[in-house]
Amino acid sequence: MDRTALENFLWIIPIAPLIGAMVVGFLCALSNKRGVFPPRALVGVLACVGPLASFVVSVLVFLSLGKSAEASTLHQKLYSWMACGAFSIDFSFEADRLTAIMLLFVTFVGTIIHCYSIGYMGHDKGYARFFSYLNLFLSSMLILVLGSNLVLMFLGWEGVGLCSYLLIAFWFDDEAKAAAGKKAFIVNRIGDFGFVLGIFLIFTTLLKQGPASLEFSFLAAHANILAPVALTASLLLFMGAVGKSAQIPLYVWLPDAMAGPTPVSALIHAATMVTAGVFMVARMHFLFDLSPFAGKVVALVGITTALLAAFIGFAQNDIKKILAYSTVSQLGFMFLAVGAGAYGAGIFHVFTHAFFKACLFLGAGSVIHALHEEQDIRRMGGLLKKLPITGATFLIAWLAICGIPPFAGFFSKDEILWSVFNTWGLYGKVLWALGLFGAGLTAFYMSRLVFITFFGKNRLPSDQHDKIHESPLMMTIPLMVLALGSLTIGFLGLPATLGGTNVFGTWLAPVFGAHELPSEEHSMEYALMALSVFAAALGIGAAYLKYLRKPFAPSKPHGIAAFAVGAFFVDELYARVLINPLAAISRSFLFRVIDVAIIDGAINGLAALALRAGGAVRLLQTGSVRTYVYYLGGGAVVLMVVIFVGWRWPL
Amino acid sequence: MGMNISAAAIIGMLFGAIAVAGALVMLTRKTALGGAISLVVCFLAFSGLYVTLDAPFVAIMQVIVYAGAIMMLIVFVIMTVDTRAEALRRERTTVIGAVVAIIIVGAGIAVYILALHDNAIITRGAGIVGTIANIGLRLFTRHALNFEMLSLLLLVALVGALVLVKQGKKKT
Amino acid sequence: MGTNAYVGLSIVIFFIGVFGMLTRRSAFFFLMSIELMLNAANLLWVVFAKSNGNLDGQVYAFFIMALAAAEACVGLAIIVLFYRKRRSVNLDDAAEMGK
Repeated sequence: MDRTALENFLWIIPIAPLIGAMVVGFLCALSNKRGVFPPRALVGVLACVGPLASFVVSVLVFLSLGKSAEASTLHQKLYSWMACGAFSIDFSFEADRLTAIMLLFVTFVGTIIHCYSIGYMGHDKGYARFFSYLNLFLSSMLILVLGSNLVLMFLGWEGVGLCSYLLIAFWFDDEAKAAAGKKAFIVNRIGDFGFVLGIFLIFTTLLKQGPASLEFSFLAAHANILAPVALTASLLLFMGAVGKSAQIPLYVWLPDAMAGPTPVSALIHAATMVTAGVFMVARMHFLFDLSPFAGKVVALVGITTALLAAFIGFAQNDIKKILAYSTVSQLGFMFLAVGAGAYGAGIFHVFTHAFFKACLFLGAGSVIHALHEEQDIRRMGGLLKKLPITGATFLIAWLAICGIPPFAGFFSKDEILWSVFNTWGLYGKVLWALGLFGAGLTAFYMSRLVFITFFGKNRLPSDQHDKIHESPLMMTIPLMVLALGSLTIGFLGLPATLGGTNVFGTWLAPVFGAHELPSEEHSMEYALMALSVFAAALGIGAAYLKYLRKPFAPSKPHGIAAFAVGAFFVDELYARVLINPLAAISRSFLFRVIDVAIIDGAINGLAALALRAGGAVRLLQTGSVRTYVYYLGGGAVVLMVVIFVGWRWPL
Repeated sequence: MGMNISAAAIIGMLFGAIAVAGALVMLTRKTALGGAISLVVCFLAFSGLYVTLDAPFVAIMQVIVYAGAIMMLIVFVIMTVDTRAEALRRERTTVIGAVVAIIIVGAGIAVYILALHDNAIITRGAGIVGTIANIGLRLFTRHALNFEMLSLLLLVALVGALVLVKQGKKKT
Repeated sequence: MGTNAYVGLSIVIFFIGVFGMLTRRSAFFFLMSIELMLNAANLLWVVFAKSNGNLDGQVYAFFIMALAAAEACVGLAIIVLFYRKRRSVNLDDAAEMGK
């Protein structure tokens, strides 16, 4: 269909899952009252219809933008949200090429995970509630991506934060899980504070030069006005990304978020929500381009997070926690890319990461499901024989994340490293080296996970071991689809040096402006590619030597490993330094003094004042007619005097 | 007031004096009936004042309505009520009451005198005389609505008074 | 007689009425003082009707008379009721609170 007609249907993308959420939620509420559960099949179908519709429209959008001129966009305004004076915000959607890519994989992976959840959550009594929340999440994420202005993006931002909380604390009867949900929300909030300040700063700066709006097109066109505050604004916005995308120092919520159901971890904390931070930086690339120093900070935070998370990851024993730290680490790589100005490379890694990380998480979910909620890898082993499909897909995704060609992760990670190497001179080279080290670490701890879980001797009691069987089709088909993606998608970004045209990068280039990379030095690029493959192989080899060569015996960790098991005790540090003092101040000062003494005192004082005033006025009612007559006469005289004064000396 | 005091002026002053006298006498009576009768005299004097002011219709109405109907009504009720015990009792007027009353009255008169000083009260020549015909014309054209509402008001007062005073059937 | 004199007369009579209202304790005197005050106001209406050459003042004087009649009617009804209850028309006996 032609462009203008398609524009009218942009709203379907975020609203279809929203409607799904409301319908399922309504069904859920209805059934709660009667104590009867809605039929699972119906709920499952209703829940998957929305994301599927969004996917279809997203594909149409993608195709349409592919055919059109390079920098064109699809735009739909729903209604004018706020309008006051020089300032107005519209509820409107805009899809450019960057948005189209995001929409594609968000809706695709979202739909797949919805289908997977039908199988995974099949026996859970909160089945309908789960799908309602999941649809709501998808809707918020799509609003975030499609929003044409900063405020609407922030609306989606907050929405996904809310849904993340709802879904992490899904089994809220368990206090620890509920606490994990709260932690996620609160830590996110801290980041959001920075985000909002950034928005304010941008807005007030623009306002000084005339009527302003927060539409991305407007901001991009007037970027030069923002140049003086670009550093502060971009760092403030980045703070929001730090919270949402779990970078240092606000990453602490992501490992705890594994308390939620595995599909949630796959969708939200691997493929979509956590990448919102990267998306935001890419969206605001014109701002970050204005301040090279901000870019350096972003890249530094990214690589530090990547390394720290990798270190923590290889001492963990919970399958989901390992994957969580792996996500934090990969996000660090993405920020390394966008910090260096290679937005295309960063988004490419977002894209590939969505596929292989979702596949890893769903595979982990399948394992957990098959082992009846067992999550400790020390008690697993030799599962490849028992769970062939899960194992095979898991292995494919593992190779992808390690960066082994021709799997997807290789191309995206390599593009990042190549871009960083060519930016900033010495600083870039140092970051590249750290990135290489990080890639090796990634290979190491992911291989550790795979070897301990799927190979070697099985460590479960034999009767349990015999009962293990592969998961149902509803769960394995999504795994296969995602594994296929992890295998093939990398070729979209095939760089020129290997004979390809980097379809992905060139498609996105109109959005970011070209990020110039030396294209003649093929030899250098080959060398770096070889180095990264070598690093990955080194990691895998080391893990093999340590964990597969000899039979795996869980041992007490010592040295750095002990430190790493406790996640370097960052949570405890935060508690000691920030949370406990804050709670103490709150209890002693804020509560006793301000709340009780001042506020309550004021209100009660007002009430007492009213009572006393009433008591005083009450004395006027004497019940004696005589005094009433006096009042009458006195009042009449006062009136007379007033009229006279007004007449003689008019105002 | 100049040396030429016309006949109308003398009659006016006469009626005025009677009115004031009547009012003062009313204040000082012991019995309610005595007060009522002196008030009738006062009202009749008022009627005379209205005549000097070219308002014959109002004068007639003053006699018929005020002196005739209202005062008669008051006298009837006085007769109904036993006021002997009333007359025996000395009325206690508190000091405060008297003081307040004097202050109020004094304030009012002061305001008048101040207003007078300004000479803002104008006198224009004699206009139309308020004969029945003239008043009737005004009443039924310009003030027709007011007139109708007034009759409604009278009806309400009538019914209200009846309802108030009505006693249920005594069980005898 | 000049307008000023008539207004002065009206004021005097009005305040005699006020004084009576404030001082006399009998309900009848109270009511009669009120009638005095109304009359004084009536006088003012008529005086200014003549002074401005407009008959509307006299029409309104007439209205006030009718109004006074209605008011006296209801007031007397209340006095009758009051007398039935308390067998007295003294206003001090009307106090129901304290004292």
